[in-house]
Amino acid sequence: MSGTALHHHLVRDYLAELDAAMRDLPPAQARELKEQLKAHLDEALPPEPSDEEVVATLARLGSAPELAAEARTLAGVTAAPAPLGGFWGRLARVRRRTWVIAGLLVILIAGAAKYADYYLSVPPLQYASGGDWWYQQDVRHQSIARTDTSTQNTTLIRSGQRQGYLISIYNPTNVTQTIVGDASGPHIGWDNPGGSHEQIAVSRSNADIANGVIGEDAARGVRFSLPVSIPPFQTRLVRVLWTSDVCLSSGEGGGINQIFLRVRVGWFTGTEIIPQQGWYLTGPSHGRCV
Amino acid sequence: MPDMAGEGGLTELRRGVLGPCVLSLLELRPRFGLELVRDLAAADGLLTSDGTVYPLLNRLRDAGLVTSEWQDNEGERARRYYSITEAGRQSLKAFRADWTQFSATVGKVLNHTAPVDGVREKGRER
Repeated sequence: MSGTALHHHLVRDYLAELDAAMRDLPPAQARELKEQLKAHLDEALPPEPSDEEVVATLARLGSAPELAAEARTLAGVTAAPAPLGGFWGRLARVRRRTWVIAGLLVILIAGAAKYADYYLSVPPLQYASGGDWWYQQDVRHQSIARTDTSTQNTTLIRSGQRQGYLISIYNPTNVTQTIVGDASGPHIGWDNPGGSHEQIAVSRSNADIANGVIGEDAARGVRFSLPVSIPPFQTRLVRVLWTSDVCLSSGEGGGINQIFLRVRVGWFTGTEIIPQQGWYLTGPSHGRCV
Repeated sequence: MPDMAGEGGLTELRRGVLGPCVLSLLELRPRFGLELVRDLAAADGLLTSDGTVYPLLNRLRDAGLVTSEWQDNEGERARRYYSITEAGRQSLKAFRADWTQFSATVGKVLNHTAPVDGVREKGRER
C-alpha cells in the first residue's frame, strides 16, 4: 500500500471521519475495516488523483457514517454515535466517566458550600444573665449598679493579685458549639479590664447561675477545663481570671462588658464577641503595682 | 411493512442477498476486495455503496464461510484475496435452493399468477 492517493487531503479527511464514526466499534474490527478501505482507495485511485477523482471514488465508496453503521449492523453493535459537530459534538464525545466525576465534584462542592453556609451562619453563644466575682474578697467589696439596659458590677482592684469573675454562657442554637480558647490575647489590657495572664475555663456539665441550676457557692466545686463543647440549648459556666497588674488612684476605674471567645462550630473556628454585664475594677490600689 | 417499497426496504433486501452473491462470485475463483466490488457493481442495483462489501466480507469470514490471505504476486501490489470455504459452498447451495423456491413464490404472488384465499373462496360460492 504505497500509493500516494492516501495522502490526498480529501482521503485523509475521509479516514479521519471514519475513525470518529467507528469509535464505538470493537477496536480490532474498526482497524481491519479501515485497512480494507485504505487498500480499496489505494487501488481504485491513481497515485496522484485530482479532487474530482477522489470525490467520485469516495462517493461510490459510501460515507464514513454509512459504512460505520453497516459495520455496526452486521456486528450487532446497537449504539450509534450522534453526528454532531462543533461545541455540541465535543460535548457529546465527553466520556460518561468524565460526566460522573464532574457530577460528583459539583455535588461535593455544593455540599461543602451548603455545609459552610449552614455552620458559618449559626448565631453566637449568649450571655445568660447573672454572674459573680470568683474570689470572695472581691464579692465582699462589690457594688452593683443596674439600669434598664445594663448591669455593672464593680469591686476594688487588688493590684498584683489574681482577680476574675464567673458567668453563664448559653448555646441558643441546635448545633454544638465548642469553646476552644480566649480570643482577647495573652494581655487583656487596662480597659479589658486591666490585667495580664488572662485565663478562660469552662465547666464540663450543664450549669447555670442565673436560673439557679447551680448556686454561686457550689460553682466553686465545679471542674473547669478547655476546650469544652456546649450541646444545643445547654448552659456552661465560664470563668475568667487575670492578674491585675495596673495601679489605680482613688476614683480611677475601668472594666469590660463583653467577652471574646474562640468558638468552633462544625469544621469552622471563629471569634464570637458576647455582650455581658460590666465587670469593673476601681482604685485605689493597695497591692504591688507593675 | 410501511417502508418495504421504499429505499429502506430495498436496502434490507440487498443486505439479505448480498452475502450469497459474494459467495457465488468467490465460488468461481478467489478475488481481492476491489475486484469483488467491481464485479458486484456490474450487477446493476446490487450495491448501494462499494464500501459496504467489506463489513460483509468480515462477517462471512467470522462465520467461517470465507477465508482471506495476502498474496504478493510478482509485478503486482500485495493484495488480500478472499476465498470461499467448504462451509461457504454448503451455505450457498442451501441458499440457492431456498431462493429458487422463495423467489418463484414471491413472483407468483406479486404477479397474481398464484391463487389466494379470497379468490378461491369466491369461486366456491359460485
